[in-house]
Amino acid sequence: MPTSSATCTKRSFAPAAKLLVALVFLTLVNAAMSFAFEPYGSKSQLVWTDYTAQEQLDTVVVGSSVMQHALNPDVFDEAAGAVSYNMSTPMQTLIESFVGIRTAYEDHGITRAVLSLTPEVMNWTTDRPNPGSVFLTQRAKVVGPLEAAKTWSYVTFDKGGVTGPNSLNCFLPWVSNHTPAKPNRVLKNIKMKLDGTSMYKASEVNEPGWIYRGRGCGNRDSVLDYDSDEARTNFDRADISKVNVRSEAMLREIAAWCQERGIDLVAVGVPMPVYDVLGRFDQYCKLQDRIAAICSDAGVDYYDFNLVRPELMQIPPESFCDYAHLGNQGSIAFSQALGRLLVERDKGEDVRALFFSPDEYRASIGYISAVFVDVGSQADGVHVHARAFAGSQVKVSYQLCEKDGDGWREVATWQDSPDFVYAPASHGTCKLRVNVRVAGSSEPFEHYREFTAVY
Amino acid sequence: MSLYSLQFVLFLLAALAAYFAVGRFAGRGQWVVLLVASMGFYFACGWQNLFFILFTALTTWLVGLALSRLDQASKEARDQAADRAQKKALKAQFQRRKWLVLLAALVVNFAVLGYVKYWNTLLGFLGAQDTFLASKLLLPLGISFYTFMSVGYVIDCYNGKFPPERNFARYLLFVSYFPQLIQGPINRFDDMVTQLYERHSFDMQNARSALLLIGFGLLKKYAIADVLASIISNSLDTIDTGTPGSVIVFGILLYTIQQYGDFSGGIDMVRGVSQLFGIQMADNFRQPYFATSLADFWRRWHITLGTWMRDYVFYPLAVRPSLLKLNKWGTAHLGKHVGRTLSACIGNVVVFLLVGLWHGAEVHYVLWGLYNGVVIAASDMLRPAFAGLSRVLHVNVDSAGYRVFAILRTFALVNVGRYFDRLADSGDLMLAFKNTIVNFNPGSFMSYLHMHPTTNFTACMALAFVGCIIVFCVSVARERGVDANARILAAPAPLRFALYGLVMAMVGLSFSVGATGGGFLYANF
Amino acid sequence: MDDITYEDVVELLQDVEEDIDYDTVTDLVDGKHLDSFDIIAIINAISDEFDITVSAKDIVPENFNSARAIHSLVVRLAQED
Repeated sequence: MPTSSATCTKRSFAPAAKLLVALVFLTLVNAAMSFAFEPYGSKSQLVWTDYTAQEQLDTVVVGSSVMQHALNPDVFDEAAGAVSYNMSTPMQTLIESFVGIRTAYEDHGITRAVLSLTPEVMNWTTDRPNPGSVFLTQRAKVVGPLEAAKTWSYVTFDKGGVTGPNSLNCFLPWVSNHTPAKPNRVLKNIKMKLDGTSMYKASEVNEPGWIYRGRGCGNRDSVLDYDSDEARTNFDRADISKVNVRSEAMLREIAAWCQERGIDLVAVGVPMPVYDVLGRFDQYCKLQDRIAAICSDAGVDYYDFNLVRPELMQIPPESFCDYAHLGNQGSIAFSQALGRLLVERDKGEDVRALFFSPDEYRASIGYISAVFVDVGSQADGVHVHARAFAGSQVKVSYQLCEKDGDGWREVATWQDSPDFVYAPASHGTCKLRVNVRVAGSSEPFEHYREFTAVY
Repeated sequence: MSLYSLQFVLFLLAALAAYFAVGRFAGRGQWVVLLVASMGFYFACGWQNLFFILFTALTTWLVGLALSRLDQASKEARDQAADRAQKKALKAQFQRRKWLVLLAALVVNFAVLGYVKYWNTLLGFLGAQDTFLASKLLLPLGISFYTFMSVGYVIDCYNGKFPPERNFARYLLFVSYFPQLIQGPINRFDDMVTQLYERHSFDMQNARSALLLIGFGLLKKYAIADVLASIISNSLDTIDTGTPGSVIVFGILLYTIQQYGDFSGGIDMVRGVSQLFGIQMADNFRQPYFATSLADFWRRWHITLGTWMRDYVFYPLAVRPSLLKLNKWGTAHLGKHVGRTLSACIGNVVVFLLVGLWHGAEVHYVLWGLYNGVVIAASDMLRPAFAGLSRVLHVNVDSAGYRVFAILRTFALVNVGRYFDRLADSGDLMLAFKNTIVNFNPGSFMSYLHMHPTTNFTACMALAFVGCIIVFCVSVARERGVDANARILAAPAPLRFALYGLVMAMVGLSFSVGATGGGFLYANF
Repeated sequence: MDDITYEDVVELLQDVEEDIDYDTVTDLVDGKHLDSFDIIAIINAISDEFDITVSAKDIVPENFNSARAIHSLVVRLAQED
């Protein structure tokens, strides 16, 4: 009977049709969220878009934002006699760096790859491989769906991404890649996508002060104020000397892959502000030893530019634009230095002589880089422990002040000890400041740290 | 295996496909698919741990059969007995044998659980935690839950509640059924036995309801619990004399919300997964923060643990002859009400001590258990006194206003308990209580939070707030007896789709703004 | 041993928890009229008044959901002794 079979067909299709409509609707919601939240002018978008404009390439530079700030391809190319591209992006993982190297090799047959190794990258313990990261999603847009699917499969299945939330969130690209969580930023993002702003302008609007130098490199002209809240470290609580087994395995995998194809892989430590190196120096040295050992075992040359001698590169405090990244001045110096290093190395010179040993390095810092404080409240008052970071030959003096109107009133005079106990008159909040200077100096202070204590 | 992963989604799709295909084409044996899937799930979570779950399943299954055999032998022997005296003697003799067999099962399985969970803590007490004696074993998945389920089964067999399961594979499925492994519920054999082994056909309405339940669980777990985790840590992990009581109360309140979101969210997710197979697992939460007394709270929170303790610890303990004698003494010397309640109070305190220990062999957990046990026991002991007080003050205990008062009072009591739960260090615990009372310091609330900043603080709080509003509305509906799931599924399509879109957006955003690894708080049990 | 009547049981129950109409309510346990403390109090009273021991395995909803069910339980246990 026509009627009942039509009804039967309708009934068996109805739930499937409803499911389809629901999925389509969710896809639309997903697309709308992506449009609103995926940042226009992200670093990855710049990197991959400009990459396609490269006609030839013999050196690719990969790594996290420190390398993205540090390596200026124009300056580097002149010093090294190379044609380079900087594929570094913020928080780039080793898996992503590997994908970048592979893409550059497949497209241009590169002969050299420069990889920055930072403490974060080497000891990330939360490195759930993310097939939906912004680096990979932007790359997908330029390499096409087949290549993108291959990479998705590599990260999800080969690299174990399938066991974590990223394996589902990769279908919601705005989860991994979104504007800051503030309504005005979201609105601005939507506006720039709609009104024809170029992605270069957008990238600079997203991060005021950040200037795109071209070919994947960008940094700032401004200089870090070592006494402001901007001067901080990511590593106060973590033990940075540990190397994550997955990071080590990935590094070895990259090294072997490059070796098979005759690509000269050079690993590099990009300079950090001196206080960050001195801040946990023992752990730092242990980490560097471990990295050096892994690289040596894998046949990779590793150069930690934090310990570079002034003949090759000078790193005055003004080199940095913020707590982690080189600014324009530092970037030019670094790019030149790295270029010269590679030229000398290719000639067969002993480039190890251009670097300090750890003790030599510490002795070479003749100033105080910055001061930080640990604060706690106990029954007898506010306990302040100042941590000043200076070279091993430098003796530091400390002073404690309390805010008094617009100025500061000394509450503990200059002393050699970094510890203070200060008992305010009553419970509440007080504003304090530790001043430091080299012992015997006549300056009112050289560096300081302002902080609040709740008692 | 993480529930929120492609790995689990693929696993689930494969298991569902096989399950319903077998049901469609073979007509029976769907339970075998479930068993294979459960073994596979367990294997993926660490194959070495299979040994533990097989051991528990095997020992309790054998004991179940042995108890039944003893019952049979006892009946036969008594049938042949000469007189009543001999019948009684034989009954006692076989009862003793049954008891020894049961005891063996309990000792062996609790010993394994005790070793895996508490051995290292014990060594720590003795200062020997770094010696070769220390256990390097990681907690096998679900051991606290499946051990209790198996023990419940053998006790039920001992009591002759149902005939034992003769097929080991079928029994193994009951013990290892994968949705219950991560964090419960603690299911009962007689509830599961029909559902696990009978035939289930695919029902679209049931599947939609299950997916909705999973979605609700995702919302609670990710968009409420996970986004609050960092804020709670920053408020409660560095307590010193200067920490304002206002910050501590704030942290504890958020922790109360997080606990509910994480635990009940996870339970909703696994119940939804089970429902996809047509199998309903026991309820574990029933709007707990609407409880009107602490006793009522424990009938609404982690329900299956409460009923397990009630049936297998509380009742057996409270009706022991020795405790009944104590009650008689109490009635004689302290009045009828006290006399009647004494054994129950003791039983109750013991139960909550065990519940505290079950969470971990740490002082603060024991204190937490004691706190709950004593407050509940005391409230029952003082019931006539409270009733008298209400009469004297002319309070209408049946009014809506009184109900609201009771809910708020209970909420406060629960939050006090959370101090013990969340703050592992005794020093922190005492400071926290002290500062809550004498150093509330609301003026320093914001500056303290600025000193311990959380990324995306406002976004996280906003997301959790919206999530809580949704959960609150659903909870009120459920408390009134409305089937919230059915209502939503019957709503017009645009409204439903908007809801699905909202849930998807909120869960995704939780990963964007929050910063956790995504594991469940109860998964290490 | 006297026979225990239904009225005896109802009187005992009223003594434990007086606000319930035991003649009509048939979901004392399932409907949460009695909680576990009440059950123990009832068992205590049964032990005191009728000298009958209720064991833990008898504490199931079916045996305690109504006054009639409790009466049947008590009578059965009395006979087993």
